[in-house]
Amino acid sequence: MKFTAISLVSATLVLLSACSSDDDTGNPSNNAAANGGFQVTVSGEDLAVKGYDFGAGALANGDPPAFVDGWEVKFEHVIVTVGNVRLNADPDTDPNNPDTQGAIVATAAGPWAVDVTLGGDVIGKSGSADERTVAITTLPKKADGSNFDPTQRYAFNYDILAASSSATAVNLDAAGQALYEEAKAKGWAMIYQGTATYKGPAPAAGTVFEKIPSSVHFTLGFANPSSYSNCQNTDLAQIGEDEFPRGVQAREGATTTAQITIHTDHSFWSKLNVEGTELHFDPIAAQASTYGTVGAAQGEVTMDDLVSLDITSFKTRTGEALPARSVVSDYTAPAGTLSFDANGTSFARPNSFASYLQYSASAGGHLNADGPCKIRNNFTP
Amino acid sequence: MRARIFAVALAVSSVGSLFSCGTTGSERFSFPASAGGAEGAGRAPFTNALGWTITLTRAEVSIGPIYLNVIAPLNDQTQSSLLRIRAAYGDTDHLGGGREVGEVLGRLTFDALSPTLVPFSTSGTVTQEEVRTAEVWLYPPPGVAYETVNITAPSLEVAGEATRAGETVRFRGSLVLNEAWASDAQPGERSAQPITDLRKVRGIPASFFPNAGGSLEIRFDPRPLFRGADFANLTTNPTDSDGTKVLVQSKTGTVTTDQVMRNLFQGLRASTGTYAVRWTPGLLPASGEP
Repeated sequence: MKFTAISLVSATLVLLSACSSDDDTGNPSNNAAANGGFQVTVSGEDLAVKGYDFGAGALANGDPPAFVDGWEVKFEHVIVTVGNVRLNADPDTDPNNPDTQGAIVATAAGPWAVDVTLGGDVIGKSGSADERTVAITTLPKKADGSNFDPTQRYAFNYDILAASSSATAVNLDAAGQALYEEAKAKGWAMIYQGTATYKGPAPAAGTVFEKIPSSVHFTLGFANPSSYSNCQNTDLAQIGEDEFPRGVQAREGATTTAQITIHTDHSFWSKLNVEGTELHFDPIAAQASTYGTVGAAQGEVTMDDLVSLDITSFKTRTGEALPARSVVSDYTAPAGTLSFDANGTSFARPNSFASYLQYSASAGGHLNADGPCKIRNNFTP
Repeated sequence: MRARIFAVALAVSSVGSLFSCGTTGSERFSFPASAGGAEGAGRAPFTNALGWTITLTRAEVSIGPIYLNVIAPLNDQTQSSLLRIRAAYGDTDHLGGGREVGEVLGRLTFDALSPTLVPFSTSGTVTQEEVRTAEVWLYPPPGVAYETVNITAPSLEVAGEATRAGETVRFRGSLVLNEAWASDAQPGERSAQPITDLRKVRGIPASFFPNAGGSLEIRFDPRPLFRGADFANLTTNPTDSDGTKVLVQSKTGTVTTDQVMRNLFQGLRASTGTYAVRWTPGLLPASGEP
């Protein structure tokens, strides 16, 4: 995937030459190209656009991964508010504390409200033709007016912020704008809205799974504003096992794209702080408003339904134990009640699934597809 | 993110960093280390978030080895101008392995209900460098390979009584970091995590600059282990003849790992709340002394 991503960077640059006009609002401009500056884009990769299919041969370890409990998850909106993009000198000042950087050399405050499900026209860095990336701003020069030094790397930092009236709606449609109003009222920084459809084998009669509606509409608003600092850059040459240089590097006479990437799969991990644990949707679906009868109509789930749900012993909406299940061939669910592992993280409300989701979703922010950042949660998990 | 096994990288970097101790050229010295229960914990009853009032009669903990790391904590406190924000980091793998500059290569069992400090049998060594975090490893006893999955030595043994709304539950349990907690994923697979990683608590905030003559102190507070424990979930657990419920950790059988045991597991491995790590400075030489 990485080789493809790198090869697509050049294609991205070609497209940039067709970008629209510059103005003072921070909208993208082809001026960045002439100065060897940066264009900043936002992407939820193909999974935010196409969602997670579930069909014959679905695998927990597939690419993309499948929900092990048989759910197909499609997003209508994945909206994030991005801001405070900052480039600092000297990203390697302290390898043990990426927050330690040189002076700020360029900033773009934003904020911008971006729906990564709708995306835009910029080719993304994952290598998937389905990725739809949207440009939010450019950093054509340093704050002092000089050009970026193409021989230097600059620490790349950004924030995910609570929704606010000051945010520029980059690509929100009417439904997205309405959802964003709710986000502003509730302080959400990320919003996942969509529909999950059960596509696994028919549940055994008499089990709680039979009482979960086969279609669940969900609106998950995460009040998880976070700072992402000194990200590693997977566009640059690898320097160690799964380790890449920190920061972005300009190129003389050409624009370099820095892509803020949101990985939606993090939200559904069953263990925190470990990359890529199996994905589950049963804990959310079992809280659906119509849970309880066989063949129930589509139900609704919001974050309010998940606040008091205990990750160490999941229950259904009506209080029955929710067993762990797997309907994929490469993962066997453990016996007993489904539980998730906070893995060293504790929450202000002990074991709250809503807190777990917010924390896990915040881990999804990266640079250039896969580059990890130091993440500081500016909220109480 | 697809199938990137950062956990493996973390383990590799962590092990690798063990061999980097003392390579900075700073002064290196040995120090005594000890562990005990948190002051204020003890046998006094406490009430958890679910309304259970818990009185512990036993909380025996086995820890070690201990490592001191220069990497910033996974969780810390930052002060803003208006409010206190608790900060955390979304993914420990995003933080990296850091560099370990100190170590106490021993294993120690102590009573977490007593504030009396119990010394490690071996001294630690540290390179004089700012320590930002500590790592408490919960490894098997000497003679057992670290990666052994099936062990019987408990890391935590608890007993006590929990009361809520007139209902009283006596309980006891032994938490062993064995296959009951191990990932089912195969090495190299997505979500695989070595058992050795389960036996580490990383990122415990510990901000100090060690000096010769100082000592390391680790305090263990058993109360956070029970923050979310709901003793109403123990109805199907095995029972002693006196009615004491026996906590269960098992992936198989008619009773699998129970909710209280899962809370113990999570609390034991929490990077904040359970452990407090302090450095007691050594006496500085008086002015004019060498």
